[in-house]
Amino acid sequence: MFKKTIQTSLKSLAVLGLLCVLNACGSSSTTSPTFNSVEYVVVNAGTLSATPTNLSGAGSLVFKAPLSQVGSKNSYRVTFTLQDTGSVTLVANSTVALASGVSVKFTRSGNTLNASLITTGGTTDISSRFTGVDASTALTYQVDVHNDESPAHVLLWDSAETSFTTAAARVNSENSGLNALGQGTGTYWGLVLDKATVTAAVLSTAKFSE
Amino acid sequence: MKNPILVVLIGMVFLSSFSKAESGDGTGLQLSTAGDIVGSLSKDGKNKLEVREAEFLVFAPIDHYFDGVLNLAAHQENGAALFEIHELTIGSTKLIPRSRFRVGQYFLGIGRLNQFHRHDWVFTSAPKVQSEFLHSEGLNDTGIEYGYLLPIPFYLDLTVGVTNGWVFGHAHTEGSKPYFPTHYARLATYNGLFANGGMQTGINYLGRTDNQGTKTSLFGLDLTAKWKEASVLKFLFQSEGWYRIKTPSSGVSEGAIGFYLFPQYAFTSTLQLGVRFDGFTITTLQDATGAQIANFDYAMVPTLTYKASEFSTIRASYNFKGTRFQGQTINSEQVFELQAVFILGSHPAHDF
Repeated sequence: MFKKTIQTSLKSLAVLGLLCVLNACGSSSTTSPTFNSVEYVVVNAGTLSATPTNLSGAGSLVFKAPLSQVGSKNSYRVTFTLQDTGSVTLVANSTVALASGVSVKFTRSGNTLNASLITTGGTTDISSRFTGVDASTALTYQVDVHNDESPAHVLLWDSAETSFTTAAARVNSENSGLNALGQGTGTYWGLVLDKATVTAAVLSTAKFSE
Repeated sequence: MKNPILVVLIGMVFLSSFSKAESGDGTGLQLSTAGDIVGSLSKDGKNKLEVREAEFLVFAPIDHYFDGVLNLAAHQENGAALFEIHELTIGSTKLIPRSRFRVGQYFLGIGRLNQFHRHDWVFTSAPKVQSEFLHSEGLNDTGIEYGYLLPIPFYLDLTVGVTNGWVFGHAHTEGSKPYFPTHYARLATYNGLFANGGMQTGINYLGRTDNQGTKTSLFGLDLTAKWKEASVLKFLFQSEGWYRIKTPSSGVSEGAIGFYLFPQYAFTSTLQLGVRFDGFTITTLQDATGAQIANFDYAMVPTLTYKASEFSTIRASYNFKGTRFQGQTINSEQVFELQAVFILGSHPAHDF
């Protein structure tokens, strides 16, 4: 009887062990936090405060789903407000660490909005394109990054724009006066905040078609 | 003067009418023009008919050793047709035994599609592998190319070239000096097939390191098989497969594979039906946590072609395109295309 008890116990343990293994083989990854219903991974927690509809403080995050490929073209709609001396950077076609990408950085100085385009190829000041913009208000911009071109082609339109042409763009990196950029080398996109609040960051297909 | 190149061209056409007539020994200036008109119809597309391309080709022997080619083409950009130089070369097939070379701006001698002007393609639009890895109109740059027919019992031809590489693919700027210029090679052979068929096979390599230190390497195989009955191309099979790896100076490499297959059958000497199958995938795509992301772009393009002669083509095709991403179809599109191509004058023949 003792032998039978041992055999039964061993069978039960084997079944239990198998169930544990099968359970572990299933998807058990922790769900990432979301912003605008899109999962992201925190790169630099800093003082970042996050809800599904609001990011604020200082820190950075990368969105979990990659872009289709390094040489892709996409559009990003970003809505943000900046504290004085604060900044927000949209990073596209970068590494997971948000490096080596094509970035658009907005910085507030009083009521003045400064902006720059940044790649590993260099930084181009595009602040003159934002003369008259009140940096103390909530701002929304639609940004195309065509990383399938060499150098990358960046266009930026005001939120009210519905005709996404080069003529209607507030910024066109191919205009004279803007230095040629490099290209991003990755398939990720994300945000870097410093004394900023972001309430929308939406990825879509490129608005401008060559 | 809005487009000085166009003015010069019109002048050349005018002057050429007074030039020597074409002669049997080919000392006359030869002119050719081609027009490519494409209309597309889809649910969310432009839905318009456009002059996609207008080409003016001038070619002739320069002297007893050298040949010259000038190819000007206009494309629609932002609603305007802009003329630009597509090809300008000086070359020779007579100077070095079993060799040919050209210097200047040209479409790189790799692959199959890349060596043909787009209006000469057997379908209307570029397969994804061509537009992603090379260019939707063909990859074109300035450099020097040399070809050598090996002195062996069977056909084996080697082409090598090096070009500036300041830009690669689509660009509207001068680009930047690369760390290592664009360089390429193609080794091609020809074999007879059953039922009087023939097949050309090419293996291809292209490399470049851009000014940011990103190294691009392309490896490809192109296959073109033809069966003719008298002068009619009864059956055509054309295919290319490419593998590309891009390695940045810091960061993760990106691998990608793409291909197309195009079988075509001729019902008559003027009517042909083909179907193109396209595939494309990024083999190294991962999400931000490092999980592999399955992805695949596909297309099926039935294509009906009417060729009244070698100088005119009417073509209708229907593109079924889609993208699969993480096991789901995230994008699908259906586009009807209608194309009309004409050639005026003497257009140079293709080797195969």
